[in-house]
Amino acid sequence: MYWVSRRKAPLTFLDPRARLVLTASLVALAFLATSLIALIPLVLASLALVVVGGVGRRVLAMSKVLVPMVLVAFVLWTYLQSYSLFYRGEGSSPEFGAFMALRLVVLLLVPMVFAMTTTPSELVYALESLRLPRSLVFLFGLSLRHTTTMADEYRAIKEAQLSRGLAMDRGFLLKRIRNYVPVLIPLVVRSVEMAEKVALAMEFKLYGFAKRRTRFFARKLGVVDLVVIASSLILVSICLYLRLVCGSV
Amino acid sequence: MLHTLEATNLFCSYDSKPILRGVSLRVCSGEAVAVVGKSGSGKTTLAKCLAGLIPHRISAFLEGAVLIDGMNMSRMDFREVVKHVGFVMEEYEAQIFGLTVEEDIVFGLENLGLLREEIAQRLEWALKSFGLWDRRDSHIFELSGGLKQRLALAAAAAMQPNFLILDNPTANLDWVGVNRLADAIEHLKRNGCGVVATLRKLKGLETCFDQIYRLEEGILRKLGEAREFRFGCFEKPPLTRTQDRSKAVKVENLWFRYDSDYVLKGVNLEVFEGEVLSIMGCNGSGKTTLVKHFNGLLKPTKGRVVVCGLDTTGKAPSELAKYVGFAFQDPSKHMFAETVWEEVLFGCRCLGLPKENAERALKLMGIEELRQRDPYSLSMGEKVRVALASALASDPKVLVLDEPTTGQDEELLADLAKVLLKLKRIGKAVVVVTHDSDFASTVSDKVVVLAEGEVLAYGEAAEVLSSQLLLGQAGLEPPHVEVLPSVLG
Repeated sequence: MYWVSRRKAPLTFLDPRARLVLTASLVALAFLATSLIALIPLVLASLALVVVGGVGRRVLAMSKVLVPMVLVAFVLWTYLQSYSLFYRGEGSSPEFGAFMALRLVVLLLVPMVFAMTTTPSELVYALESLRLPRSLVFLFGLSLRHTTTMADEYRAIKEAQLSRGLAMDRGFLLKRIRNYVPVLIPLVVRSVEMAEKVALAMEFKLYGFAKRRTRFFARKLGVVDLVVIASSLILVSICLYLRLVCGSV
Repeated sequence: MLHTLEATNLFCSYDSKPILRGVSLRVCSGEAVAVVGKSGSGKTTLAKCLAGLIPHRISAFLEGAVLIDGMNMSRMDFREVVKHVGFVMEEYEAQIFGLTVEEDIVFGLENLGLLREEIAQRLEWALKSFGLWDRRDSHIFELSGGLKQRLALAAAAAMQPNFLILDNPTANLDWVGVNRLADAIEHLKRNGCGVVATLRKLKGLETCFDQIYRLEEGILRKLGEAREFRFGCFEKPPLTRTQDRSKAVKVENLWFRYDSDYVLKGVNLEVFEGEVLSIMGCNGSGKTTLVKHFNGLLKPTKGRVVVCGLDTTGKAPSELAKYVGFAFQDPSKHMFAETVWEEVLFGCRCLGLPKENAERALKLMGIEELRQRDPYSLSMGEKVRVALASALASDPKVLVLDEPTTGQDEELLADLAKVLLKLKRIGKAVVVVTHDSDFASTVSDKVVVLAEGEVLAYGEAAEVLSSQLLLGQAGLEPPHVEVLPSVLG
C-alpha cells in the first residue's frame, strides 16, 4: 500500500467506481483491438491517464523495468509467434511484434495508474458498490489491511535470522528454499496467532450484529463520473460489436 | 446511571493448571482500576474473564462469577456482554479493521446499525477526545505503534461500552505514549466509563487509577490508593567499570535515509569492550535504525561504521554475525526450533562454529536445564535468556539488545540487568536500545540520546540522565528518585 500516491491530481477527484470502470474498459479494449492502428489511441489514452493521475515521475522511475519488458515482448512476438498457443503466424512479423508490445504497454500502464491513484479504502468501496458479497469484500479489505503488518513481521523475522548468521542467498535452489524455513515457521505461527485474535476482535466490534449494517461513507456519483462510466461502457460495447460482427477492430 | 462490573471469588484454570485463585474486584462507572503483575501472573486471563471471552469464546474451567449490574455474565448472550464491555487487546493491531483512522472508528458503529448522524457525532467525539483529529485521514500503515494503540482505544470507546478492559496497554508505548494513555483514561472516566487495565509496570499512570491491585500467582491483593503507591524501581545490581578497554564499535559521521528524508543525521559514537552503552530516545527517533548499522543490516548513506576493525559497508550481516550478536524485541516472534538447544545451536550451524560455543552460551545464561524444552512453552524471562544465548553462541565481541525492556515487568528487568553486568564483566561491549530511564540508569556506563536522528546528548550515564531538561526535550521518562542517587554517586 506504500505505492498509493497521496498527491491530488485530476484523476483522484473521480469516484473510485468511475476509475474502476475506466480501467476495466481500457483493459478490455486492449484485448478487443485487433490492429496496430486501433491500439495507438489506447496507448495515448494510457499516457494521458498517467499525466492526469499525477504519477508521471513514478512511472518514469519504473521505466527501467517496463522498457526492457516491452522490448523483450517485441522481440519474442516478432520472431517466436509461431510457438504461441493463441496466435498462429509464420516467419517474423515486426508489425505483430509491435502490436503485442503496445498492448503490453496498455496492460501495464492502466492498472498501474489505477493502483497508484486508488487507496485501499476506495478499492474496497468500489468493490462493495459492485454488489459483491459483503463478507468477500470485507475479507479482501482485511487482507489489504494486514498485508503491511505481515510484511513488517516478515522483515523483522528475516533480519533476526540474518543477524544470527543465516545466509539466505547461499547455495543451489533446494538449499536456498531450505534457507527460508527459519523465516517461514515463525511467520506462519505469527499469522495463525494473529488470525485467532482478529476473529475475537471481530466479535468485540459486533461484526454481523445488526441485521442492516449502516453505510457511513456512502458517496454519490457526480456528472463527470457518470459521463466517464457511460462513455467507457459505450465504447466497449461498440468495439465488442465490431469484433463479434465485423471480426476486427 | 451507575453501572458495576464485579468479579466474585473467581477461580480459573486451563488444563487443570490454576491461573486465577479466588479473585474478587469491583469497578463502577467513572472509576479506573489497575491490576499490576509480572508476566505469567494471570493478568490477561483476568482481563479475558472480565471481558466475557472466558467462558463464552475461550474454554477454561471457571468458578465464581463475573457480574454486570448484578447479572451473571456467563448466563448472558456474548453479544449482549459486548454491548456493555469493550476490550482492547495487548496486540491492538488485530482489532484495527479500517484502512484509515476514520474507517476504523466507524467500523464498529456501522456494525451496531446506528444512524449516520449518530455515527458522525461519535466519530467526531472519538477523534477529538483521543487526539486523532489531525490524523483522521491517515492510512493505518502510516501510524506509529503508539497512535495505533490510541486508535484501538478510541474505536472501542466510540462504541460507548459501560466498561473498558485494557490488556497491558503500555506494552509498546514510550514515555510520551504512556502520558497520553493517562490522559485517555482520565477522559474515559470523565465520560462515565469504568476502566480496568492490566499492567506490568505502573510508572507514569499512578495518578489516573482509583484502585490498584497486585496479581501474584493468581491471587489478587489490593494495594490501596494509587497516589500512595510507588512502583517502577528495582534493586540495582552493583556497577563495575573496566579500565583497559579496546574499541569495539566506531560510528563516524553516520547519515542514513530510507527514501527522501534522513533518519540519521551525522551520528558519531564509540563503544568499548567491557562497556554498556544505552541508546535512548522516543519512538521514531532512529535508535533501531542506528544499531542495525552495527551488524550490516543497513548500510550508511554517508559516513562509516567500523566494528572490531571491519568497515561494515560491503559486509553481509552473516559475515558480521561472528562479531556482533543481536537480540531483538519480543524473542518469541523469531523462535522456530523444536528445542532450546536447537534454537541456540542455529547460529553456530550457520557460521560453522563448534557446538561448544552453544554449550558455553547456555551455561552463561544459566539455562542448561531448559535445553530439551520447547521454546514456545517457556516463560517470558526464559525466552529472553534463550534469545540472549542464541545471540551469544557465536561468541561475539559486541552484543546489541533492541528494546529488551519494552513491555517487561520489574522482576525480568532486574534479572536482565544482572545478565548484562555479567556480560560486561567478561569484556563484552553491550549496546542497549531502550526508552526506560530506570533500566538505562542501572546498567549503562554511557548514554546516547537521539531525537529525530540527531545526537542530543552523549556522555556518562549519570550526567545525561540527571538532566530533567534534556529528558523532557527527548520525550524520555525521568529516572526514579531511588535510582538516580546511586548512579550519581
